[in-house]
Amino acid sequence: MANIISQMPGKIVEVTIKVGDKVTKGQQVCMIEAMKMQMPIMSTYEGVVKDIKIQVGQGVKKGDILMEIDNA
Amino acid sequence: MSKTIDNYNNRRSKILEMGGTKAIAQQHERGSLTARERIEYFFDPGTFTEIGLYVKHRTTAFGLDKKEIPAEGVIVGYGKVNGRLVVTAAEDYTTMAGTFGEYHGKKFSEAIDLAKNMGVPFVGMNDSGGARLQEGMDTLQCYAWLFRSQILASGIIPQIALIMGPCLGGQAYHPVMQDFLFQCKGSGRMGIAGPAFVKTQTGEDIDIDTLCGIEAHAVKSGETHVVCEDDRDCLDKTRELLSFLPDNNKIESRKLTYREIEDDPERVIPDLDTVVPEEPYVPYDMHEVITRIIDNGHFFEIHRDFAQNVIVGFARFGGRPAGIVASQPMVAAGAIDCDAADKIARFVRFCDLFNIPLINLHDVPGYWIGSTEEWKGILRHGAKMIYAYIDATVPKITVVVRKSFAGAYTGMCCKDTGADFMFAWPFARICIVGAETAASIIFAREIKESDDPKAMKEKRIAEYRELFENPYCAAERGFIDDIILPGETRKNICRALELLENKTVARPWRKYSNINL
Repeated sequence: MANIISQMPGKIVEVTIKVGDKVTKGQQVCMIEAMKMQMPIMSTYEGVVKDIKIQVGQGVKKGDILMEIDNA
Repeated sequence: MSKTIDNYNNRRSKILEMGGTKAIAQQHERGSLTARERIEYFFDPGTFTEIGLYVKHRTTAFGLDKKEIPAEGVIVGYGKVNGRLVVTAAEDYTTMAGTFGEYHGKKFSEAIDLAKNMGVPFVGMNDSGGARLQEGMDTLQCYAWLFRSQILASGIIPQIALIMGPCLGGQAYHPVMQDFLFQCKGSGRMGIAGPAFVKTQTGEDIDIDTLCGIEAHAVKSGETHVVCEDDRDCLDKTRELLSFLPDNNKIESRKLTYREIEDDPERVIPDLDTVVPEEPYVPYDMHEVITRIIDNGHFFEIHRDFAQNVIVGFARFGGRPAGIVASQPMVAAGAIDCDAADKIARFVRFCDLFNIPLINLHDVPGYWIGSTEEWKGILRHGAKMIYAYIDATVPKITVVVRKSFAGAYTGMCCKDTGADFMFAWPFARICIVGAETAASIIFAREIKESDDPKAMKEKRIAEYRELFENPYCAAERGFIDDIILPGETRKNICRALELLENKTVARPWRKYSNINL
C-alpha cells in the first residue's frame, strides 16, 4: 500500500477518481487550488484506489495523505 | 647526479606519493580520485604550480613526532582553468585522513588569502576526516584563521566549495560560507556532527547518508547548490560555473563573442506563446521559457532541488553572463515561501557582488500565506529579497510572464524596487491583489446587501479585473516600460542589457544595510 501526499497546502477543487479505480503512475487523481493556481495531483504509484481521504471543498495541508493506493 | 639533487628528488617524490599505495587504492575503491588526481583533472594540462609542498606539522604529542604527513594533508597551489587563473586547496584523504591540524589549516587559509590578494577565484576541495585532535587548541585556532580568511575574501573573489568526501563538525561551516557548494553523491557528506556524536548527545539514531548526504543538503537544508554524480562530474561543473563568473569583484564576467555563441541576440521565438497557458491557474514549467530565451538554451541551475517554487541560475544573453531569477508555477503555485526567499536573496546578493546582471521572470501570485509560513517568519525571510534587490546596483531587467501580484511584485524586483527595465507579456496580470479578493473587500457591504449577492460579486470582480488585472493599467502609469509579445522577450532583454552595460549608481557611504539575516 502507498499513500498519495499533498505537495502543497490548499483546497480540493476536484477528485477525478473513486474507490476501486485502477490508477497508473502519472494519472491525475485530484486537483488542489491555492494561491491562484490549480495544481493537478498525479498518482505516484500504480494500483487500485483503496481509500480517498478528501472531498471537494476540503482544505489540506502540505504532507497530508490524500488517498491510499493498494497493490503498489 | 649529485647527492644533494638525489636527496632533493627523494624527498620530493616521497611527499608526492601522498598516503602511499594502500591508502590510494582505498580512495579509489570508494569511487573517489585522490587530491592530486583531482587537481590534474581540474586544471588545464601542465598549468598547476604547487605551494608549500614541504610544510610539516610541529606536534610531538601522541607519537606525532614520528608521523610523516605528506604536504600536511592538503595540496595548495594555482593553475589555469580554461586559460584563467584559479587558486585551490585540495584535501588529501589518503594522508592521515586529510585531518585538519595547525599547518594544514595555515596552508588552507593562506591559499584563500592569496586568491583574495591576487583577485582570482578560489576552489576548495574538501575531503577530510575532521579536526586533528592531537594538536588541541592549535587546530581550533586554524579553523578561526580559515573562517577569517574566507569571510574577508567574500565579495572580493568567487569561492566555490567541493564536498568530495567527509566534512563534519565545525569544519563544515567553511564550505557553507563559500559562495557555491557542490556535493558529490555517495562520497560527499557534510554536517555539524556525524551520527555517532548525534547518538551520544541526543539519542537520535540516524545513518550518515540520511543525516549528511545529498537529500539532506540539496533538498532539505538548502546548503548544497549543485549535486554531482562523482568527482569528475563535480570538477566539470565547477569549470562550467567558473565560465559565468568574473575573477574578482572589480571586473565583469567574460562576454562571449558572437562567433562563440552563434545565437542571434535579436532572435524571435515564435513558439513561446504556446509554452505558457493564458489561464492564470494552469501550471507549466518555467524552464521551458528560460531555455528558449537564453543563448543556446544553456542554463546552469543553482539549487535545482531546493525550494523548487523558484528557479535561479546562470545563463547568457548575446554572450553576456546573467543571473536568472524566475517563478516556477509548477511547484507550489510559484508562490514565495521562506526557503524560496532565502534562495533568491542569496543569489541576488552574489550577482550584485560580482557585477552579474539579473533577469527576473515573474509568474508569482504572492508570498505564501497561512500559519506555517507566518510562524517560520515569511516577513523577515521575504524582506531579505527586497533588501537584496534594492541594494543591488547591477543591471536588473524584469519580465512579467503571466502574473505578478501583491508583495511578490515588489519582492521580485519591480521598477520601484530596482528594475532598470520592466516588460510584460500581453496576458500579464499585474495587480495589488487578485480581482476576486479586491472586489470582495471593497464591495463587501454592497454584495451582502444586494438582492443577488452572487451576481453582484461577479459583476464587481469583472469590473475590477477589467480595470486593473491587465498589463495596460500598469503600463499607463509607467510601471511597465513596454508590453511585448512573448517571442520578442530575448530581443528586448539583449537590447536592454547592452544599454545597461555601463550603468552607474551613486549612493552615500554606509557600512552596509541592515538586511534581515
